[in-house]
Amino acid sequence: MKIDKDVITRVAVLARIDLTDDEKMEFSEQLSGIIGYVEKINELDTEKIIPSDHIGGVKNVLRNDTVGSTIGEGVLERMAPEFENGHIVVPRIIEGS
Amino acid sequence: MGYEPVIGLEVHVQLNTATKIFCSCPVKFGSSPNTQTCPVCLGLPGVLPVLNREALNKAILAGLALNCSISGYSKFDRKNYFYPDLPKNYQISQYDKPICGPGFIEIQVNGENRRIGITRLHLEEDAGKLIHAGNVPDGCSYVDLNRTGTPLAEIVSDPDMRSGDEAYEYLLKIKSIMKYIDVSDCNMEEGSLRCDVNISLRKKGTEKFGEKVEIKNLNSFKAVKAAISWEIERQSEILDTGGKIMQETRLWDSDKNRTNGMRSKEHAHDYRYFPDPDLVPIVLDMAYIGCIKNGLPELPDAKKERFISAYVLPAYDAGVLTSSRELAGYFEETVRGGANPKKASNWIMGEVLARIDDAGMISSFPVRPAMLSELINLIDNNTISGKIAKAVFDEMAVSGKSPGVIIEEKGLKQVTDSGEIEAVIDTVISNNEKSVNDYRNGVEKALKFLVGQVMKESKGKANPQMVNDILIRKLK
Repeated sequence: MKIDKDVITRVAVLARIDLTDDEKMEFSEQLSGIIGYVEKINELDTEKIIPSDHIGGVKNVLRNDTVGSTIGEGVLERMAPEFENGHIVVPRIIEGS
Repeated sequence: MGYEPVIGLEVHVQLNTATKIFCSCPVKFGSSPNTQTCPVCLGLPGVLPVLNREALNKAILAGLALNCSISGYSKFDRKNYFYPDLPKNYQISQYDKPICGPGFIEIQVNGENRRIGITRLHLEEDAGKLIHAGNVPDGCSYVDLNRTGTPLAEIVSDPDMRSGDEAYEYLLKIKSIMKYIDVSDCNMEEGSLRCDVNISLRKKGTEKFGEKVEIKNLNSFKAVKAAISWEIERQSEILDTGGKIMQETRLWDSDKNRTNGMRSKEHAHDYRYFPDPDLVPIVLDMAYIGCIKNGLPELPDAKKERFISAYVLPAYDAGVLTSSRELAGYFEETVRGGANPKKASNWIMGEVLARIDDAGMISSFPVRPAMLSELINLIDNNTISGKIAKAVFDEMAVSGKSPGVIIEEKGLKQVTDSGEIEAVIDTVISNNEKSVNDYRNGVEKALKFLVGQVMKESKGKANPQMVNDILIRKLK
């Protein structure tokens, strides 16, 4: 699969990354190379192989419904870029209203 | 108009666990903003989410109650999107291997039974709350992450509904079932039950679905019904004039009673689901599922059928009484106290339900079942008349006193002593000469008037049947 400039542009938008035209060309080449290498796996016959979602075989790890400790006072305020009246402040996301 | 609406609903039910789905933060409505959080639900680097056993069990129970098949293998996936209501930039949800597969529920619309398919039920974490109004500075939104990580069961229906009424009944049934099995309090105001609508129109008689529109921001069952009506009209108009329906998400505006297209700049969604490597698969065997199935109580439909056959109640009564598990219990306890089932049903559907807003709140109603059955028995054995009973009930509903005590205190006991009644009747006869003559001259309704006078004179305490009989005898 060729990772062309259009794919790079779309992925950049989804990942919220700004890329210059030169960077797009550069990444297009590099990622095409990586994907091309991994594509070798397509040569294997996987007809009878069940796709694996996880490796390691661990299953059913559960916790009991018991209340534990929450974050200490002021900790979130120190982490957030902007904090006011107990809330994290972000740029307005809904247009209008 | 020649179009048939095709409607499917996505219902999010907040599971009533003590803690969040993947961390041990408490799930509590109304706490100070951002205090019910921890590194896991804040999505800080290096944390490990672990599934809450209770959330899993409640999801399985909900699936069983919706006649769903329970998956032997299910897993969690990351749904990727950027929005400040989820600090991780992805929501942990289930994509292709949900915990519960296809199922169905039965609803009744206009006296007709309809089976609505359930596509799936899956577990996911809730997002945080964004606040745009109030004292939020211009150009900003506030984020409260308390709700982040609250366990949700998302119930997706098949596109089986054809009207707003059907959607409404479907929601009522889902709510009723979820409350019966005690997996959610289904409080819409607090957001523990939320619903999105998918709706499209197609020409009547055709199979192919039209382009669908998703409606969000529906804050009540009535809003769901109204939004569907609005959309049917809007889409019909577009189609009638040769236009095309655009696949989009629209928001319900409950002030203006209309839907509006979202003016979001978000590009078409591309969630890039992939298995969450932090959460291991859930593998369930029949023994585990069977164990949860044993905890399934009698569900509304089965209870309704039993009420009809065991108590010989009309279907309508049985439907109302079984709409909430608490109310059904109240009725059964009243009957166990010796009350006639149909009379108990009449009292509950009339006087009791008129005094409470929510049938689920019956447990805090001052008139307990034993008191109601006592009252009904007091009418049946002629201690008080039906009319006096209403007044006694009024007092019971306020004071919580038993009917016997109230009747004693207020001297409301029905007079069945014929001598006493005769004395009152004699007074009434001598004071109402005209009516007495009218009756004797064949004016039947004069008797009714005289009975009324006797009842008034006795302050409602005289036994009406005895008054009637004695009057007729004396007027001969």
